[in-house]
Amino acid sequence: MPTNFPTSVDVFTNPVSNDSLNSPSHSTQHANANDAIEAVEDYVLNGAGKSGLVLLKTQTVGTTVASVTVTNAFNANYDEYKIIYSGGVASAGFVSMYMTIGGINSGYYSSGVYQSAVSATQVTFNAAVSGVWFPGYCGNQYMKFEIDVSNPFKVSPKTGNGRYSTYDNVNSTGGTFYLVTTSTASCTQFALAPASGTLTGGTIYVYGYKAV
Amino acid sequence: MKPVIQIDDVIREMTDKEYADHQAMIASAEPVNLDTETTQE
Repeated sequence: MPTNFPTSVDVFTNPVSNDSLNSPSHSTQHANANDAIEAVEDYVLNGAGKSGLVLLKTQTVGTTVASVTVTNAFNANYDEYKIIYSGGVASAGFVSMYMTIGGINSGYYSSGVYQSAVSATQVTFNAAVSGVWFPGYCGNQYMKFEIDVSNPFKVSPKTGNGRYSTYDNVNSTGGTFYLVTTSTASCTQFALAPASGTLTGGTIYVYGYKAV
Repeated sequence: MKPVIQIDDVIREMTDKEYADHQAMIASAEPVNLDTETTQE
């Protein structure tokens, strides 16, 4: 009996104490239970049958690391991803955050706008930062980055956009950004690194947008 | 001592090649062209 999960609740035939092993079939009992368990595992772990944001990976950031690489973040099941890094701090304030995807080491472009918490002036940036993406600035008290990335696994140019905010004793800022790389390489991982110094703490969440 | 990097849950010192790659990555970051023009009235 194929499992009905996640469409509806399965109705199993429970054996009673005097039943023989062939009625109900002992092997069928196990096969049905195994099918249902596998369907639940596929649903929970892989998002099978779900639509919407699916949490694919969670990575706690260590102490005073110069970069954090998250492997196996992208796969063929998703084209669109949301990466959130929140709660960490940088060793220095108002330092550029850099991001790389897979082994791509050239062809990154970034632009955006940020604003200090104590200024009405918006500052635009247009960075032909060849070897990295530049999604904003680190904070030395708190920071949060939300980075939407399109087609990192697909053999296709990759784009990104998002927003960031920091609490920083040098310059608390927040902003939005647009990212693009001309590379079409298929990538499974990404890395975040401050332009100088280190990162400590916080969590990186990787979500996939699943249509079906 | 070389910087410490993290790959998933593994935290360790950079290898010589990783250190060279990291330095190259930082060096490749050309100065950001900041336009401080105020866009608000």
